[in-house]
Amino acid sequence: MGVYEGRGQLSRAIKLLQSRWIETKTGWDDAASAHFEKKFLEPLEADLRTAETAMDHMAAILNQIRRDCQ
Amino acid sequence: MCSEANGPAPRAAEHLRCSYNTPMAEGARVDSILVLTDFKAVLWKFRESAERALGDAESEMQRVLVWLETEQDSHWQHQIRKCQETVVRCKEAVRMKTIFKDAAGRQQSAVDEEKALRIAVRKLQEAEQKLAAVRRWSRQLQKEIGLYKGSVQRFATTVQSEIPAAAAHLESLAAKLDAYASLTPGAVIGAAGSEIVAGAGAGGGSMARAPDTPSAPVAVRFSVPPIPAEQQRVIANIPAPRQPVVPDSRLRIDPASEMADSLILRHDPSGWVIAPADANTSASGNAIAIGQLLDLRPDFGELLTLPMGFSVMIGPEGIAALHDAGGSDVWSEVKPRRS
Repeated sequence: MGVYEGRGQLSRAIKLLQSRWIETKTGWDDAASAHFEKKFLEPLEADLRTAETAMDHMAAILNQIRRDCQ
Repeated sequence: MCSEANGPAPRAAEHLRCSYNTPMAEGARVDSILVLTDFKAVLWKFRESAERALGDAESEMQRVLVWLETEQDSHWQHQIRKCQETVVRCKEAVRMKTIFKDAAGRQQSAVDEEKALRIAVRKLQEAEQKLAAVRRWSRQLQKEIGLYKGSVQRFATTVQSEIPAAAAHLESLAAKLDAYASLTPGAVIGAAGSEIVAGAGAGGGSMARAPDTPSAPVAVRFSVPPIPAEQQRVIANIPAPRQPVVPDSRLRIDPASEMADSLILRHDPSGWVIAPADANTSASGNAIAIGQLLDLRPDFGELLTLPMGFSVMIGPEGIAALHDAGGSDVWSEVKPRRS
């Protein structure tokens, strides 16, 4: 597996995490869960978006390298 | 979402509806301990996926870099040498055609040889461009890998450190609920950081959500008997700047206070703390609204107006000691004398 596949895996993993969190909030819906979301999940998602952008860029570069150097 | 369908039957306690007040002093609600433990498992799974994805991505970058620097570099160098040899041969063929005349003494046509030479030269140029691209990309890829690592570093750190912290947070909450669930019905002091409220659940096994109103019933029970009225009057007359009791403000109760024979009430900078007299009081404890406590223990009312720094020991016969912020023993000076 490489950058492109890793990017896809990350995307699937965060979607799963988000959907499970929505489910979790149906059974844990209070200030503490909101605090948990704000403290842990929102920064995680923001950092992941940055990482995904970097992975997209790197995947494009690797493709270009293969085209130019093959 | 829960995994109980495949696992052993969860304990009844895990399906209790629990309520507690958080340190944020707002109502809290967790339907089941499994909600927390299940999401904790999801977090760990996400961490595993993320670490694998990041690791695989970096592996591919390194593989491509090595491929460029070794395999492709030597490949295109070899191709250039071959193309150069071909060009030399083609040039020689053209030269031979132009030097030597045919059997009839005429100048020979070198069209085919010149065409072959053009092709050979073009292939040589392509190979040289490839080698230049390989070397350019080798340098560029090293830079891009550095930039990439900088961009994903924050996420990688979050995955490595914050997800375990989040999981530990959930574990802690689950432990608190579990500790509460193991208490007998009617016992209402929960684990550290939570105030658990007895509700009208069936069979005593269910805990209703804490009402949002300050007058929500809280069955905090202390073994220490009420402070005698005479002592309460003495406390009211202690010369100290009083602070009015704010019913919605919180105080912390060490869970062990319930069974203690003697209690310490201490006015810390963060508020009042109630703890067993024979234990080291700590900053942790169950948060409870002062108004709710006073509904149950109105005899604490005068004590809770004492300013910050005061501490009071209450025993089976009422006030046993009372110290001011400077540590002076105030009670020995003002306590009622026995006849």
